Amino acid sequence: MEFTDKAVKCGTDKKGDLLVTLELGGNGREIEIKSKVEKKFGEAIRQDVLIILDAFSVNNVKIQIDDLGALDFAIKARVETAVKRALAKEGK
Amino acid sequence: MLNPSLLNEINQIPGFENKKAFAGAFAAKPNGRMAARPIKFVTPGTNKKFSLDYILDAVGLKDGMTISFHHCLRNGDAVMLYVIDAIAKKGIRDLTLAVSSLSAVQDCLLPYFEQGVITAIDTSGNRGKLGAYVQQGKLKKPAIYRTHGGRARAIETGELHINVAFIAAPCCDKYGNINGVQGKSACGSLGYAMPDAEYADFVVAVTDGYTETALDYVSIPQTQVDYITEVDSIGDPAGIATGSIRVSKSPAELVISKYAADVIAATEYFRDGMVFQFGSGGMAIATASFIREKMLQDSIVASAGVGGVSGFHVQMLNEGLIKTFYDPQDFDVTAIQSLGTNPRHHEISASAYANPFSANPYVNMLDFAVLSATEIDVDFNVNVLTDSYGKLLGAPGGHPDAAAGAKLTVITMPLLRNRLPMLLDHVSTIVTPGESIDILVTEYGIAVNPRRQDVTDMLRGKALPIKSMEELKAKADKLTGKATPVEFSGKLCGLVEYRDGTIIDVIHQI
Amino acid sequence: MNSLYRTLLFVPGNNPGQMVKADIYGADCVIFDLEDAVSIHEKDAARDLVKHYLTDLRPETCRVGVRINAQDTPYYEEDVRSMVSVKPDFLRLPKSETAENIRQLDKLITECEKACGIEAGSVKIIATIETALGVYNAYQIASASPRMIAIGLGAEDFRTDMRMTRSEDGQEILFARNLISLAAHAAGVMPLDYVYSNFKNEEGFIADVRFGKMLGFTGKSVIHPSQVPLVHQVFTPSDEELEHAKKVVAAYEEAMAKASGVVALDGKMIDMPIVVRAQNTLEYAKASGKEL
Repeated sequence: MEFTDKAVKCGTDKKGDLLVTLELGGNGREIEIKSKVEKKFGEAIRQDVLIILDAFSVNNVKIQIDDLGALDFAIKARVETAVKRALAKEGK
Repeated sequence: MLNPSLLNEINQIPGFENKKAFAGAFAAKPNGRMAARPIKFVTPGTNKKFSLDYILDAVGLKDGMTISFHHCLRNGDAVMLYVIDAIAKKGIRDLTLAVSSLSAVQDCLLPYFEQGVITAIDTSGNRGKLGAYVQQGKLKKPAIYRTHGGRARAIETGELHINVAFIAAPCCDKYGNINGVQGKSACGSLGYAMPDAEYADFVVAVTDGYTETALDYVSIPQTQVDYITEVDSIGDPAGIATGSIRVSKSPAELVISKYAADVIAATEYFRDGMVFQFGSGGMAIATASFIREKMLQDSIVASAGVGGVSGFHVQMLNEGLIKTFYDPQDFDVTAIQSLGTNPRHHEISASAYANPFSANPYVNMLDFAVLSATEIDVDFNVNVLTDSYGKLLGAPGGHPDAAAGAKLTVITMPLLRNRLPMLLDHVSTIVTPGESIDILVTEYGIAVNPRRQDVTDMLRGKALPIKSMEELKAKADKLTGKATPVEFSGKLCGLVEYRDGTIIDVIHQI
Repeated sequence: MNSLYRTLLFVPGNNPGQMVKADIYGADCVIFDLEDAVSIHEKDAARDLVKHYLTDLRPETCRVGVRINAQDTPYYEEDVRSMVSVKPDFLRLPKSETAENIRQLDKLITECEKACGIEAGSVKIIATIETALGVYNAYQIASASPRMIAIGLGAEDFRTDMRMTRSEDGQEILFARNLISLAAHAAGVMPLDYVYSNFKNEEGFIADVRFGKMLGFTGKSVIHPSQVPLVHQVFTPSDEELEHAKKVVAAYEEAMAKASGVVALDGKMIDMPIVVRAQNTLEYAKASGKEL
């Protein structure tokens, strides 16, 4: 996924964590998930992302998730922080 | 239980016509006689030492035969590649590779599979490229995965007939006596080579420790060895023996190990004169170290230890906490040296260790065994062969054997690894049946198999975090969240054999 | 869950891998740390992480607290607002120096509880005292609010503030420990012993816990899971102590039943403090899993 300098990041590359790269704008929600457990939890990760985007009414966004086996709570938390950081950057 | 239609499919495969489905750990009632062993004869002074090329002709190796190796050189082995390359150059094809196990180092054999030199596998486990080859469905018939005891049984009953056994020999004298405790490539116990040496039509020692002087320590006797061939190196010592394995430093693993030791000490099996087996992973060693503390506290001594040996086992042996050790395999240099020097440290064969069709394998002495697991299910069935996606990565090894023999079998295992739940409704592959497993210990609590009401009674009021399997399962599910189910439906490409020879599960193409 | 606060295990608030395992070590309380364990660039991320963790996976086997940032930082208010919304058992306030610090926090919590529809008074306060002024005011701090349940000493900052030289056995902080214990008991809250940071020195740690227990501390803050069982071991009554305590309590109950004002055991009079101590012993024994 290509990002500009408008993108924000959140999280780490430690085991059990994830790294979120997020940029507001574009058309619709582009979500890319990279995870070793994608076969079993790719869908769960996508749902976590959608829950947060819905909660903040973010409809146009690019998100890349580099997951290292994080649980749902961590995925939701990291995406939420990234969304808040991106909104703050836009001055919203 | 194995699906009847799968069994039917298995029975259509040449060589597997008589395979039966697993029906219980002790359901088999064998009778009859052991396989006949070849009569051997040499006149005094006969030379056994030749080039491998000469020997391959002399033993009459032909297309379609079965060759065998042991895995006691573990990830340092160079003998399989050396021998199979020589065989390939002779144009021999369609061999069955019968080996006590395969390590990552044997990835180098892949070209010989692709050329058709080897078309069938009979092993305890394989992983890496060979595992992938099996699961691409490229073998002529499904690979067969046996337990250590099951392999000895198959050899001794004639189910697995070996034409030529090539035995990597760290030390071999000119008469053909072999040991694993001397030489630059010392590997310790040769337990897993012993059934092959006894029953193969021809036995060839491949050694980098040849000596004209008769050995004073003999693991495999000259009476079984037909030929000797000398090579520069049978393997890489760094891959043969690990550095000393230390107690786990992971706080979570220590929690599990401590619970395991506490739960064992709370049963009647923890007593003076007990017999036990521990694995050699960091968590098993941690459990052993907590057990050791309790033994010192209560002035308790074990009459015997059974199974693979590492430095920590040797420490307990030397401290007198274990009186004697029965050893089919050694993992580190300390263990190898101990086997060679300590008269209370005994080398035993895979058959003696675990063959269920014998008058009493050593695993039957076990009061308790502490084993690990890749996955476990709510019926206590254990998987140690494949990962959560059904991919080959481990080996049954002695797991089902020790679990069947021990009065108390304890599984130590984290409830999840990297988000994947390890406690499931159904394991990806059943290797050890739930009826052999008595206690599961995780970082979130301990579950006792409902079949063992007596154990539940022993643990009552002992301040242990006892949970039901369902409670632990709910905890795992809550943590990991909802998983998309993974279906295992690809073509049949491997058979998982229980120690008695019945089929307990299968491996699918992926 | 037992009612004791023998161990309060600090867990970094921005490390999900460690947070997930926080409740497996048997600590009586887990404290998720938003302060020293989190860099100033990640305070927002740590808050979100702790919030979602407590929403989804709140531990059932131990109490849960959050160490927020000090009142003079820009993170303090948002820490309180976001954390109260997930109703931890307590907030731990670092650098508590005066009763006013506690009253301010109390007020903000009250406001947040109301906003979130949480029962007033649910979220308690533990104050960490880590300056000379704080130690001097320990009793006022400990008695500043009905939310107060404990005070603890933050030894590292205290040493710096006092220009002390650090010793291995902590002689220099003895007076502060005594004072914290005294102030806590005077105010009817729990005194919590300081963090012994060299978790590799098991022997030194056990000696330190024993000494703290002798001074009247009822629990200890710990930073490594391996320290949890060691603290519990020190606080576990021996079989002899337990037997004696059982006899004392039985004698007391018998005397109560008979409406006799005199409690006697083996021909000796027993004072009320001995009875209370015996009751405490039984409580610790129970928490340690001993059969009563």
